[in-house]
Amino acid sequence: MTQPVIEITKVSKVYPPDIMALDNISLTVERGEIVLLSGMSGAGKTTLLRLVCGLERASRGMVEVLGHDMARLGARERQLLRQKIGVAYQDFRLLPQLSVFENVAMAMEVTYKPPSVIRRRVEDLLNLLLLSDKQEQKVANLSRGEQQRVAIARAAANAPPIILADEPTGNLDTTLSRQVMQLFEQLNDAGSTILIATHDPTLIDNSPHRRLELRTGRLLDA
Amino acid sequence: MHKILRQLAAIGKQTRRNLAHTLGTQLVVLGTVMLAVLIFGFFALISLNLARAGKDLDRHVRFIAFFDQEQPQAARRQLIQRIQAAMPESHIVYVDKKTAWRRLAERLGGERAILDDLGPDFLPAALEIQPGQRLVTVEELDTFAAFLRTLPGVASVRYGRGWLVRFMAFSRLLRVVTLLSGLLLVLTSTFTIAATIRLTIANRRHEIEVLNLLGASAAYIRLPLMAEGLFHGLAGSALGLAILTGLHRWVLTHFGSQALFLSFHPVFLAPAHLLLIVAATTLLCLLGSLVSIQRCLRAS
Ligand SMILES: Nc1ncnc2c1ncn2[C@@H]1O[C@H](COP(=O)(O)OP(=O)(O)OP(=O)(O)O)[C@@H](O)[C@H]1O
Ligand SMILES: [Mg+2]
Repeated sequence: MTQPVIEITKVSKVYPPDIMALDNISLTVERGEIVLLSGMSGAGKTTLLRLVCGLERASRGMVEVLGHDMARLGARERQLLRQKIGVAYQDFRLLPQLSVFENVAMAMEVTYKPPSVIRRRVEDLLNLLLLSDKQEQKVANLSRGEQQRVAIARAAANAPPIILADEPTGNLDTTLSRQVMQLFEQLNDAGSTILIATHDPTLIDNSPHRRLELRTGRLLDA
Repeated sequence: MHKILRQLAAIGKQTRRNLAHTLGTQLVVLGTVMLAVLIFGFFALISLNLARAGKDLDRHVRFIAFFDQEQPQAARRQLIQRIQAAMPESHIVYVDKKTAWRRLAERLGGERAILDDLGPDFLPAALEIQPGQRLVTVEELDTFAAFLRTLPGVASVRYGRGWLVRFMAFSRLLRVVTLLSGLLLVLTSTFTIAATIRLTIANRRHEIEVLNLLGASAAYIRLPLMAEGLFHGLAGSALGLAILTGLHRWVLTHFGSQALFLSFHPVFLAPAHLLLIVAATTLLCLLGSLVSIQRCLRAS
């Protein structure tokens, strides 16, 4: 019996004063899955991802990630778990003063990977995301679409067990969106379990992957 | 083992990057530390030299008890015994009229001719007393002088009282002033450093947040900041002391001859003192960064 990578049981999230962002959600993601999470703006997609990566605590219910109960995580455990979850944030969370390379490399540096390994991996990823010529550019000087790809590269850098991508193609054209999806599939083949929040039809339509839909905080199986 | 080396390399890299990316702030911090050390070192140097001068002065305190007439051998011995009893281990020399005259003649050198008119009798016999114990206060000096005056045959006692009193008061005042300014300086510099480091951390809030999101360990985030404090302390104090050394040299070459004329050679801080200043500054900077780190990172 393999343990689910993500197990969410009867979870609700209430933001003060009384905004019900998630309402009694239950969801299991197995190892090796790619799951697409769709829903209109404000449906609670980002909130769900934040619960999984431990940036937010559930108001009710239980969130388990890689066997850890997120409500009872010590500081050190939380830190180690974060190394196993690559997150491409909706608002990127990049460091604008650092270069593209440095931003992506940072994720690997905190896990003390050797510099040669870091260089090879970062260059490969940037190549794949058509950012090779921007490698030494400051992130501040990049377009939104370029920044988005840097965020995706950073999430993928460690080839972590879990990748969470929040609106990863929000600023990309169709070709680039496909490129990003291809990258996710490669990462998935390499062993990552991936949860993608999106309302991009090019990702959702004709997708062979499991699709879930959030509607005002409630989960509908699509 | 490999992992530790890699961790050290990562921390070194992080520190270098931090220093490079906030060059302006770093220079301000470095300058602050340097200036604080320089000014503190300057005060320390003055106070050290003053203390030495004061000590020399104590040693040079000399009482001269003049007699109205030459004392016979037995009386001299008795006088010396009584003084030794009151002030053990004193250095006492009886200077008879002839010796006094010869000394004065020697001191006058080429102009000794003025003495020709005055007979060898004209200078009084005296006892020169270098007290065996340190007489620190003016009261002690006066008490000892009063005692000397009670001795039989003593007409007067001289010990440059007015000058001594003034010098002692002055040196006491200067000591207090230097101590206070030194203390003030340590306080202000500590606060400045802590505040500046807090500012650098505040500037780097965003970066620390991202590192947290990426799962960086507490050590990974804190050690570079501490290394920065260490660097500020070491480099700042070294620079400050280097400038102080330069100033000292400059003063010596330009005013050294005058200093020698005062029979006083200005000394520099001993290597142990220099090391102490560097160590203390580094510790202060490290402490400042630790306090700031603790305060700023607890929030996130
Ligand atoms: N920190 C917060 N405080 C209060 N309300 C919040 C907070 N974060 C999110 N919300 C609210 O919770 C609801 C769900 O927000 P969430 O960001 O999860 O939506 P989303 O599905 O990601 O939307 P989008 O597609 O626009 O990114 C929204 O009504 C939002 O206003
Ligand atoms: Mg969102």
